[in-house]
Amino acid sequence: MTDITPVLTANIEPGRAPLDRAGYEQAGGYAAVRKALDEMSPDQLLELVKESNLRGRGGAGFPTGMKWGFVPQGPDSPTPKYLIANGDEMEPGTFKDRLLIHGDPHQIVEGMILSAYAVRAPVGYIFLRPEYQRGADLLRHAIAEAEAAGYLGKNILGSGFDLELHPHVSAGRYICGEETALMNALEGRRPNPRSRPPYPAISGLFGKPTIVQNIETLSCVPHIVNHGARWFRRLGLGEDAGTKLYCVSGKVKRPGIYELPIGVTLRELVFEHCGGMQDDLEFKAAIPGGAATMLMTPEELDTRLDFTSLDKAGNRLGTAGVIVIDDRTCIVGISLNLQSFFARESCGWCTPCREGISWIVDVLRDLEEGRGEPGDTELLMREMKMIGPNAFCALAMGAEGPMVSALEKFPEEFETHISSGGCPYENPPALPLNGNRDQE
Amino acid sequence: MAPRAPGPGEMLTMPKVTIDNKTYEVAKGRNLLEAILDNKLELPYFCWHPELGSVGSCRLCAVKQYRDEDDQQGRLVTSCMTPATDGARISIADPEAAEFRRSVIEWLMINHPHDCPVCDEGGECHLQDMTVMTGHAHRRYRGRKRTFRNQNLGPLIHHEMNRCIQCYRCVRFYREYSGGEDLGVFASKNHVYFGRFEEGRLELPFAGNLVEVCPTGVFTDKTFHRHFTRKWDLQSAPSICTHCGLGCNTLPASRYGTLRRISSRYNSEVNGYWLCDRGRFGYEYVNSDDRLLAPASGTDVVAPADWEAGTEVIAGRVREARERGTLAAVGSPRASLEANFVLRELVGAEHFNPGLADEERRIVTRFLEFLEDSSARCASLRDANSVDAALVLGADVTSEAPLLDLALTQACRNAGCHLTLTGLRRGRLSKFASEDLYLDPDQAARFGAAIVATLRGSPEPPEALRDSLPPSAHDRVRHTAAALSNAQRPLLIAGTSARHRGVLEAAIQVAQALESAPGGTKEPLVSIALAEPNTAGVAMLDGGEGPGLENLLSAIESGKVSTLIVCENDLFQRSDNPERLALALAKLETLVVLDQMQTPTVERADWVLPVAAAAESSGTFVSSEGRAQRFFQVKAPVGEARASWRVLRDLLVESKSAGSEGALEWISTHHVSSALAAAHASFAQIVDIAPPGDFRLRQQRIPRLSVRSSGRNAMPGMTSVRQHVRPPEDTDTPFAFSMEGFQGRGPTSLLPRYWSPGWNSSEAINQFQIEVGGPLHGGDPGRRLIEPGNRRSGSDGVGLHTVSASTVPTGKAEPVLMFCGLSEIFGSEETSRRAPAVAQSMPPAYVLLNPDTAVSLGVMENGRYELLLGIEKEFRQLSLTVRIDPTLPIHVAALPAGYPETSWWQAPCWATVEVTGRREQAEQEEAKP
Repeated sequence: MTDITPVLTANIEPGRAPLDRAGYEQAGGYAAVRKALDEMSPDQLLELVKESNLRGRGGAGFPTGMKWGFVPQGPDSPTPKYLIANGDEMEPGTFKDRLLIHGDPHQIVEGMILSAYAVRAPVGYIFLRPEYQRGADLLRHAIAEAEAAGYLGKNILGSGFDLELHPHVSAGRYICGEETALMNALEGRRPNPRSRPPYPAISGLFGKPTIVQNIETLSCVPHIVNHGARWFRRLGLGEDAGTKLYCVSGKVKRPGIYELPIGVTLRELVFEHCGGMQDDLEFKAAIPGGAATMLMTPEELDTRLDFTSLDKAGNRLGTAGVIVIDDRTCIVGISLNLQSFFARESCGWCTPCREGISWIVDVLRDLEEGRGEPGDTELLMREMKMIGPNAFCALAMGAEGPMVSALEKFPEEFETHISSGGCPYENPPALPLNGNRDQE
Repeated sequence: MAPRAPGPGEMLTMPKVTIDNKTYEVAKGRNLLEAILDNKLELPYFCWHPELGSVGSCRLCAVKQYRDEDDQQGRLVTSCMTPATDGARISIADPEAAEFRRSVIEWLMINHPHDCPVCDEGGECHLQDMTVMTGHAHRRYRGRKRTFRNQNLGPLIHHEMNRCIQCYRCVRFYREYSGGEDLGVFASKNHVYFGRFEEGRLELPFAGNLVEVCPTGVFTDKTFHRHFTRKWDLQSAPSICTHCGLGCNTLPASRYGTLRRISSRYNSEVNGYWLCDRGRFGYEYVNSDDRLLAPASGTDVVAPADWEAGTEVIAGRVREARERGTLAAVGSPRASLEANFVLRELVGAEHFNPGLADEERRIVTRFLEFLEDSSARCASLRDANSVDAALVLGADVTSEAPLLDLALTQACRNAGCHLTLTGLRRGRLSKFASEDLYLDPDQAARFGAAIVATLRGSPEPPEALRDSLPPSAHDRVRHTAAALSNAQRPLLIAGTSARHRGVLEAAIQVAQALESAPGGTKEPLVSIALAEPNTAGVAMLDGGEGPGLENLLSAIESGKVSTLIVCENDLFQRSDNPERLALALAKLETLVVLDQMQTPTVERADWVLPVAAAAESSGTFVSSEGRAQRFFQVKAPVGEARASWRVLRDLLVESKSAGSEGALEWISTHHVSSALAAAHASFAQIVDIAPPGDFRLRQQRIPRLSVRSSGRNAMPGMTSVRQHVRPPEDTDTPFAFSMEGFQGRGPTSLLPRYWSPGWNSSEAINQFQIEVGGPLHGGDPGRRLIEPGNRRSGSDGVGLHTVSASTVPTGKAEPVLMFCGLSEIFGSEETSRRAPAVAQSMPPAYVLLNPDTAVSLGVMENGRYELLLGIEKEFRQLSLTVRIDPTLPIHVAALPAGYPETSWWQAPCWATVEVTGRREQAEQEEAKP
């Protein structure tokens, strides 16, 4: 079993309040800020992050340093630039940012100071899902402490660099995690995604260059500064760098969050760290990275859970919110649960996502409730492949992954639902709230 | 706004795009969808609109794009979001693209109610057209449809949300394009809802455009709904809006003798795709019960009056009066050039009054004189769309010239226009304004004069100006002067509803200062808001020569005028002294009034001659831009009404006036237009606006009805279904009252409807434009009669014209207020307020006060009060509802202009105010929501 010294979760202890500034400093906190602001130019910091091969932890896995490099710099470039920490975390099965926000807020503040320094952003926002209200309070407290210590505000540690941070608790919508929708929400508009180009790094929040990074990504930055790019790269087991917070849910013996070197196999995660399946249950499938990734079968247990390996397998690491599905759970039911979520969370901007996914839900519900008709699986496959790639943003593509992989990898479950007139499983999963409170 | 047609130089560098293996040239900067439509290829779309742009929400316009010749795979792209770059290779016909587009319609049809048979949009529905175009025909969804609750959006627009396909066009037009705030998007997923936060009338005065912007039947015309007819049964002809001076192009449509609706007629130079709500919903006056149906004689013994006998008697009176030298006539800014011209011929120029209030006439005449000697260009609406600085003096653009408001909105949104407003109070445009001042017209004139002084190099405005302006205005003078002189396309707008020459003089002087500054603007843009469709035309015809109304009244009082002919004019709308006017009219031996409806002037007539409304006749109007435009008869006149010019021609011929021999030849409108063009050089071009009445295409007329109309014998079907019913004759236009005739495309000036195979909705206009969103094939109709001269006007002085006729009364105990007029978009215009939908939308007669003034007068908001006004030596009793506006200057009281209750108000005046009573009951009634 792979074992590591925790990095991102080093300061987090269950049942204990997060470290205050003094505690955080004692544990080595804010050393990276001192180091970077004293010794490094923003460009050197950016180079360091590029070398570290840090990839975005929000789901897309985009190389962080490369993204920062897109921000126009120089005397004629637009100002101000903005840094946004994306703590919307509405992806099903994903709860890693919650741990970081509630467990070590100073780590996030420090990561933001460093990242903002690298892209020369004087203002940062921390966008949080509404349930993280307490997290927002903790962050506000941490920000106030950091300000008092001169880590935030004007002329930080005499470097001439200014930064102010503002937590913002969103009204709550999955689509707000999409960076352009997030910026619209932050501007007080409907959270509809924007068309690209222009990319946010060029024209984002209020039309200014903007970098949006996931909470976990930002939390990695202080450690890269403290220990170097090479150290960070070597943490990974495969081709990717760093550690990763894996969230495991489903009927395993020990579900929860595991900080492990990125690139552990699905088998090691489920059967060693999580102690395997609960008694009398067999592993049937897993979704590696929240709702928007593809089902993995027992044959894929030895796949490494990192960006590169899953990309090669035609899958995606996503948020590394691993949802384990046991042999008594219905794949059609899982699909109905997931698709209901995507249909509910569609912002309603484009036709395929708004209308198409609701239709998918309707057909899946027919299958579950015994109204399935021959041809329904073909219909699901055809529609989903038409919807996914042709919608305005990636939400529908997210819906396509689990649906198409379920149809491809478990076709017999769908056929059984049609031929036997309903769901053969005893316990169909609960469905997410419809979200139409006026109708319920 | 609309793209201009490519110049010759641009053609050389036009990108080439390969569409389904054929290469097309496209204009620069177009997206693929525009390139496809520009080349008249078919590709369905919903959310894209030439004026609203591309947003990529409906996904319907997907095509296959290939990287290069070797790429066989390609990928689907949304054509409206993809630039048409040189060398682009795309396929519309690609099976995957076609299947995807079919799927989009199938998805939209999941929840669409398929209620076409009871939907007002049916038959002219873009959703129907696009469904057919994609080939989606088979429904596979077997679930339940979602349903919405509709809202009552007021008397103009009907709401039916279940039909919505969520293209977002409505909110993009309403909020982003027009700056409206009370229509929005609610909820998410497949429950997205477009409506108001709560039920209530839509506040935007351009809300009617939702009817055309909406690709299906969510927003439909509520007035049309009450007398609904399918598009294919409507009889229509090109016309011009009659409810202000902008000359927006319209397509009125009728059936069974009543006017059913107005739609916008595209003109890239004028109104583009849009109409304001007064223009769209004011048409029902034509169907009003107040219409005059037959000639009538009040005092003469000839009864029953008929046209022949009446004409003979009146012609006798006219001849007699002419011989005695006591004949005079009043023309009208709401009558055609032709009618005014014939009337002027009938009585002679020295006895012809153009029918404008005296102050209004002086303002318009001065404006026309200025244009003649200036390099300033009289701005078209399209010009106004892209100005980079604008100064509005003494005008409430939103209600006086509504589409100019929408054009300025675009200038502010897209061209970063520095807009300076000097209205009486905060208005709709205020939120776009860089400088927003609330001034009385005197102060507005001073503000303009201060700008002139600044432009002419004086570092500080003269003290006299400084002292009379609020302190906050001083910085604004400098900012506005700087913005105007730095602008490439500065626009100066003056209003006429303020009835204040000073604001026009100030605007003119600003234009002159801009032209004459070293390195100054070559061609500053100027615009004047005119109240009626032919104000500019009748003022040009008159040239300021004829007698004023005041002179005319004196002449009647002194017996120098005994016979007066009034054509399409209610003199009580023009006079500041209704009592004196009534006495004078009573003194006349013969008063002949030609009009469409009962008015106070008609009531006093000895002879009432019913005449056709604009939609019932043909002629020419000159818009405030100086653009002469032809309107064509849409339907037969009600009752025995006839076109005014015909009635007057008969009088001219019968009364054997000198030079009336030529009038014998005036059979068609065109003959009169030609005679006018020959007589007045400034009108020389009006014969070229549109082909004459005898114009034929392949020996055929152009049908007013579509080929799908329900049949010729059905047209008079409400009275008779006999065979061989002949449609009415029409000598004035090349149109037929029939579905038979030339089925191809005639000249642009003769387009009675927009239809093209597969395009049944108003989106069919794409098929008539050279490039979508640009000029029409064959040019946009109308001719500008006034083009800028090349000499720069002189005048280096800073003149100032302020209210001179009445001064501040002194020595009175009562408060003294300046009474100013406020134009109301619904209510101030005489004809449209007879339309029920507009009447429901107009506020009751009011006096608007600053809250402090209300306190000092002891009056409460919404209370109805009896007020005694002392103006100079006269007193006037009024019964008005008090309304409050904190932005109104404290020394001003504003009255709605043109209301029957306030028609005596013709110019700003100082008056003492005494509250003499309060009507409790009325107050309670009005307090009800």
